[in-house]
Amino acid sequence: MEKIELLAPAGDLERLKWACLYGADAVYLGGEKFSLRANATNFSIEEMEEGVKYAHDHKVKVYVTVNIVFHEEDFEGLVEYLKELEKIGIDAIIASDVFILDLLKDNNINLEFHLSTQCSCLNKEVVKFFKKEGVKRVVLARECSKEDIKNIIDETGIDTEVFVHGAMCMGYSGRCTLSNYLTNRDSNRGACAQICRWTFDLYDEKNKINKETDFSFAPKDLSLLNFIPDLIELGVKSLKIEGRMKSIYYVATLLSVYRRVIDSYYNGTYKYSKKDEIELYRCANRDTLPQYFDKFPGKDEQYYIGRQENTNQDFLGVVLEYDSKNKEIVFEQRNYFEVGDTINIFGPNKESFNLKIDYIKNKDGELVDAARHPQEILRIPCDKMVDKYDLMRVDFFKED
Amino acid sequence: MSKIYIPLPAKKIIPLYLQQDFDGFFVGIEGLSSNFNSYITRDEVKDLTKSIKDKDIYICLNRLYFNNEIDSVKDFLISIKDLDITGICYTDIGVLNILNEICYDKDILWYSNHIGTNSETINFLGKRGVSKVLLSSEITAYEIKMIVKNSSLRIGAELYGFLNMATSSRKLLSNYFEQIDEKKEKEKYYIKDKVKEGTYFLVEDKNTNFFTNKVLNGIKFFPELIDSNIDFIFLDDYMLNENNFYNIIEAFSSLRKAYDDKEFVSKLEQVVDVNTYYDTFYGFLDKKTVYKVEDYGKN
Repeated sequence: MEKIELLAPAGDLERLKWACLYGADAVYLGGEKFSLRANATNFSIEEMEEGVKYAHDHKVKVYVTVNIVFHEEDFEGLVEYLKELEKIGIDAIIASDVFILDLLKDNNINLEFHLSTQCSCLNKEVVKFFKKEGVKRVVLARECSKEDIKNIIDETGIDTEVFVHGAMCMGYSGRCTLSNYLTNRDSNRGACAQICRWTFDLYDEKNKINKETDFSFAPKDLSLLNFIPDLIELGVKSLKIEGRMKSIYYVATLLSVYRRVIDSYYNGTYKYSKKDEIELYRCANRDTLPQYFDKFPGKDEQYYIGRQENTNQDFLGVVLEYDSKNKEIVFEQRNYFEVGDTINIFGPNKESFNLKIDYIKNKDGELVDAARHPQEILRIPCDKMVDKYDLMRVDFFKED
Repeated sequence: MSKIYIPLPAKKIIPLYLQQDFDGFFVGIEGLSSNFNSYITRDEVKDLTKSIKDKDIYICLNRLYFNNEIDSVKDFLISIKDLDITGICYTDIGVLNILNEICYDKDILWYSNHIGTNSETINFLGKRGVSKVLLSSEITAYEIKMIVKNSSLRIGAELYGFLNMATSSRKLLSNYFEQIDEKKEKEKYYIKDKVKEGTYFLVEDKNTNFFTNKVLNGIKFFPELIDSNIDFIFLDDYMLNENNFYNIIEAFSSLRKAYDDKEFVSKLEQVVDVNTYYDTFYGFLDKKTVYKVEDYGKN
């Protein structure tokens, strides 16, 4: 049985490496042009080349988004760019503008084509159209239910990619231009101003309706954590995590949880775990729900107070190395903790464990009472060996 | 000369509109189309083809369809395949797949709904059976002209009406009223954003649709689009008064007879403004969107 793919966002080279380490089977990223996150860090061709080499060395595939809706002025350099992508050995492009299919053929560019969710693939007839065009994989619309996904796979046999976690669009993807009208920023060319996170007053012909509750249409986030066995059994090929602009902590946490759940399904040990849920939901900065997967979303699947993002100070530090001689962890601080606290350490392919902080040393070897300063290099004692790239966080299992 | 298309109005209004000089109707089908003042049922299509002669008739399937709806769309398309209509408008590419599978041999018009923004995509679709395109409303008049020049299909643009800004499958108004424990009494509501205080309107039917609260009056741009050989323009009466819209059709059709008379065009622009109860604007016809940080604030 072919194992389902876990596909992670890689906002930059650093995050690509973290994704590879924390269990992604594939990563997706955007270049400096033609990608829907115009204002993210994004990858230069040189960085992409380095990223592809790193990912392939870790047996991780790399997909590159070429997913803007093109205007006449946007064609310049596209063919050359696609040829560069082919040359550096990426595994597929994720595109939404269909002419790219012909462009690849006409220029003998051998790149696998994955159809972006921006195309609103909601039904089997859309999928049949693109299958005939040689599209290898479709990223289904986030509005698809379990029954829709099953029927589309059964009727077309195409490889499908399904979003399992992350932010939702309020509208049909690709069919929302609120950003264009309200801010002049082009949503379909990577400059979406996320109007769906704004708040509004609501009126009928004459009267303002909202009193205590503003009108807003911000959707809560998606999580299909508890439906992973269903998705595998439906025959979905790839599970996608949204969030190219999210932190390494977010990506690493999500990947480690989803990796664990997927692996447990295949080795026959899967069972629902409250601990997995806690881990994911603590990390997310918005409430998460299955959205369209198990029922049509109603009033509880959205917010009425506009932008609703919880700050998260769970992320305490990044392990830089383990000093086995002194049995100390050398780490870079991210959030405050102090002597006497119990923290939790997790990393790729290992069980997380708790550690009580007996002391903290600064870089001069002096004892300090707390880890106070972001990015300060510090040491804490630990008898158990840890690895570079392990992460330190609040022991929230105990709190919850 | 460029054609003028309008939505098919309610039965009682049709004779009034037919007094004007325009070329065809986009027809909304109950349950399958969106954003029309009036719809006909699937069964009424045949009668329509008998009652309206000398006008183009496009059945307008301008929605995206969920998987559980698409078989019914297919049945409908098969049922009207041989009727005497000019063609089918589609937004969902699944409809194009069905039309190709049933070897549909009349016009196929892509009602592009925000994503018809370049000639390459249009040429791609042309090779797959599409013959006409209604472009996105989020592009400039210059871009429209470039697309007409660079594509092999017959191209059209919307020049009048409220502009659709977004569509959500969620029942955003019903959800809100449920949340505040009040009854939703209307179909149409207004929202005002708290930052720029812009007003927009929302209509909830099968989907929730967001519209501008100003009406596009693009008559000023019609002469240059005629010069560029645009195939058709679309005038939308959605949520507008039919008597005023009668005058709007007249203004646009009059322009076709003297489109190189700048003074006349300017007067017609005023006629359109006067006959539009709401404020008018040029939409994106004279304004480019931006998507790079360095371009913010330039327009």
